[in-house]
Amino acid sequence: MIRASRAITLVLIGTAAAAAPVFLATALHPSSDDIEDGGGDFGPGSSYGPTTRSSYGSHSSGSHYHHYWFWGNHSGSGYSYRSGSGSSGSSFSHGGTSRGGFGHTGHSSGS
Amino acid sequence: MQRLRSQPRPNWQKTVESQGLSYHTPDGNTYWDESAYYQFGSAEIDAIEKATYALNDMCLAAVQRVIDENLFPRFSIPPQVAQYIARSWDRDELTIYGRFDLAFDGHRPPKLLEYNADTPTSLLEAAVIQWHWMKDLFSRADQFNSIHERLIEAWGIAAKTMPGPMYFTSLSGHMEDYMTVTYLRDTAIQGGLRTEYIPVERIGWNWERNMFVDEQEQHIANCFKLYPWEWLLIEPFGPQLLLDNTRWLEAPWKMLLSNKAILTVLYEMFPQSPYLLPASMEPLPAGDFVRKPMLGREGANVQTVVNGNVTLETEGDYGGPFVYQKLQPLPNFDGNYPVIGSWLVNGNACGIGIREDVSPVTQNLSRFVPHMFG
Repeated sequence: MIRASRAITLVLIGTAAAAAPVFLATALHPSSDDIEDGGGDFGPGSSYGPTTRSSYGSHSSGSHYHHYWFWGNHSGSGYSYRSGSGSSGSSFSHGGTSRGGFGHTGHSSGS
Repeated sequence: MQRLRSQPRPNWQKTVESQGLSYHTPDGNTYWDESAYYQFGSAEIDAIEKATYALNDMCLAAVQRVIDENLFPRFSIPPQVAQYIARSWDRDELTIYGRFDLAFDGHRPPKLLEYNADTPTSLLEAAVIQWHWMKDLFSRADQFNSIHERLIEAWGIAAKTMPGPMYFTSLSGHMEDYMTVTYLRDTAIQGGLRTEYIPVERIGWNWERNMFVDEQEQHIANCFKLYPWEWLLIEPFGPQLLLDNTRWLEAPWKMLLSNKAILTVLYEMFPQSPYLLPASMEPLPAGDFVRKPMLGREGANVQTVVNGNVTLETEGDYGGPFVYQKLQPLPNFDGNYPVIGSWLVNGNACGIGIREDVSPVTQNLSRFVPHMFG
């Protein structure tokens, strides 16, 4: 465990720091098109297709109660989403690529 | 183990920012705190290291038992997900890292409070920032810290077994999460991997090819996610995960260890371990205890019960099921309560980071305080 002579090299962090303004603008403030473009891939009335790029719901907050209801009460009885319906009342359409299927909590993910 | 005062380095903010710690003072609250540090003796560091290895061994045995005896309902994990976990375990899928949170006073054996096995953060601080702090102020001292080297080593193994680019993903808009995955990418590059970053919201599912894709429609075959399994699985793309054509890090079997129900399995299996506290899915029949949400994070919705009375309850959005664990008072250093985060990378106990708070419950704004020994 003794590392008195160790030298830590970072190959990416420095780059990210140098490009901080660009990085921050991208990471912290997605464009409005990213957040809402008519409901998003999984919202009611949304369209599906290879060019739809939405983050539906990803910046809303506080979905934990729903989340635990889902895990707690549905264990052992099968997930409803298994049949093709999403956890937020969404539906899937086949063909092309859908996006926005992850990232719905809006919370920091660390522990 | 001592807590000592220290003069912060002149212009320390710029220094840690240049090392990637851009979130040192979130919302004006001190997070990176170099006005104090913890000093350990070598024997104390040895005790933490020994406990970390022992806990890892017990955790791996506990995963095997959960699978063998189908204890998944205790974890509120439904059968489809249980099969997914078991496949991941049977394939011996790689794990990169995890962090045991320990109560330790320097005298008695460390006690496991919880295992952050899926999406641990405070990594850059532990691996890089506190090391540079020590070299700046105490160049002849040492630190329990080979996290950086172990990460590069772990990614080197991943490079051999997971061909193609390694994607890294996290939730947009969260600086700490982004910098954590950026640091991990940094070590992955040094481990020989080609890497890409994609916000978790931008991951696509191609219905014709039945696979997760990036924004250029390239298959995401390997992906490190700083996004909890229990959230991924309940979101609209959850069913697609079960088709099992992306290798994720941390692996699906780690969701058993990040679930606090594992504390009850561990105690059932190893009640004599000096590192474990009594834990149950029901309130403990005697003595003081802590009630924790099974899938809670950052100390939210934790309740302490002393002499049958609720003495402390933290805020948050998490509900049950709950896990009940014997109350282990944290050492009190002038009104500061430290928790030792002991890092395990690729099966190696390789360093610690210390979070402290004026509350006995460590939460998301608890300060990170550096350490040294020798």
